[in-house]
Amino acid sequence: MASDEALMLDLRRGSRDAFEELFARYRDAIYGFFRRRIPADGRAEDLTQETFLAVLAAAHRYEPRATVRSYLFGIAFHLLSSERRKQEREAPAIAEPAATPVLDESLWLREALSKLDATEREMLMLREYEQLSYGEIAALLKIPVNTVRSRLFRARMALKALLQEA
Amino acid sequence: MHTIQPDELMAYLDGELPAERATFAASHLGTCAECQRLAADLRDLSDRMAAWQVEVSVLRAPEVEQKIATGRPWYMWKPLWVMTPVLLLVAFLQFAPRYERARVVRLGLPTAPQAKGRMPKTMNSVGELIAHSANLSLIAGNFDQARDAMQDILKRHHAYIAYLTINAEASSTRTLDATIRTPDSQLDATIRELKSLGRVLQEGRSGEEVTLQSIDLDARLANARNTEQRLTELLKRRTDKLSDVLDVENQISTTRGQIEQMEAERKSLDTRIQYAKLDLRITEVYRSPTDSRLRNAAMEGWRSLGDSLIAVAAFVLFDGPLILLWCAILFFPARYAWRRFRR
Repeated sequence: MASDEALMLDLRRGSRDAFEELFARYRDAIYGFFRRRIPADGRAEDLTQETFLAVLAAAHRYEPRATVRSYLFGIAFHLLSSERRKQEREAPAIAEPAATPVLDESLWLREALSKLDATEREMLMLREYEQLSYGEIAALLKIPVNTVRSRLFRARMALKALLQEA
Repeated sequence: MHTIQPDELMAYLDGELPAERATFAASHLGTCAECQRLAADLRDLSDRMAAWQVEVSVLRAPEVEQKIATGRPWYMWKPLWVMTPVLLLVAFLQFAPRYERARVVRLGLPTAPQAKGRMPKTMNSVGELIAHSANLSLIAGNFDQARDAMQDILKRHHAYIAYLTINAEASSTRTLDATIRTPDSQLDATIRELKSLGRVLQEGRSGEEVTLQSIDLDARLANARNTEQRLTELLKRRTDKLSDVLDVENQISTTRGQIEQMEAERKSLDTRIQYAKLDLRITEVYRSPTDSRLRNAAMEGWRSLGDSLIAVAAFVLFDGPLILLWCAILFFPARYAWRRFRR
């Protein structure tokens, strides 16, 4: 099976099959990334589509300096930041992370996560749901790796305490 | 006793420790009950977080490809967003020269092209005789090299030094003052080359019309020669008394003196017309002590800051109202576009 990086290089050369393969590999991960963070129904789908549109549009500039995974989540994170700014202008009171209409057993967890510091919550979610390494999280959030480790630990301990209170 | 920090243990469980440290953490975890409890808590937390599942996306690759194939609307065209600031900059640059021109007109200063007009040559198209002169003041980094180069330039243009002095006092910068005579036709080229010797501090040109002076001198000279000739003939023919003969000889002598004086003037005037005069000053760059240089730099910096602020204020006063008008016109459409399409 071709690696993600090999697929990206094929995509850069215009391979449609490479795009479809990458899409199949990352569609749910990118969708989950947005779905857990954006409250509005349907926006996660739109933003997932925009993420892959951006990949297609910028494929000719792709350089294999980082993993495709972190490259894709980098684009997604950028789009998420834009979306959040837009939402803040239009409806500043919306709480995060997103509330999913199904699977209510996660309600306590979502409430506890919403009480965490925004950056620490983002670190924890990137680690647990997107499975990004400390280095990838550091690059995405533009903070040192050691800071990621210490703040991630603090976030986990805080979340543990919040869940015990609940 | 804990030989591993809690966050390091977490990093070990996340697979983020280097191999050597990971081996150590694993061995410590096997024996430390407290760390085992922490590890269990962390694993439990991960399990609880994993309980938050989201539905699967129904998006399909062809839909994305279809969207990019149809292209984006014009307002999503990225070069447009890039070009907008560039166009604004071009508009700004259009304002700036207009402002400069207007300022010059108000102050009654000559604009650059007018000031650069060439001086007429030895005799211009209407038959005027012009004696050209110029002055040039330079500051040179390498004084000796500049002096040698000056000699070469003068030689190339058949110019000569009429006067030269070099001031080289101790603990001071050296200064060369020279009066150069260069063929009138070579004046422009000579100045152009001399300017390459250093930074120009001052440059000036002037031309004195000497047509009337020349005509007058020629007329007076012709009269004097005629007078001399008549007196000489008179002296040959007359056989009057000795005192009259002596008077005529005195008259001839006086006339001869006037002729010689006028011929010298004629020669000098011809030289002035044929050879333009160039006053040149070359000053060595002053190498001041470090503290003085820093102080001077600081003063220059403040002066530059002041000049810049005045320039900005002048620009704002001059073009501000027009810019404000355009900002007011474009603000709402731009804000609408930004909010609507920003990604």
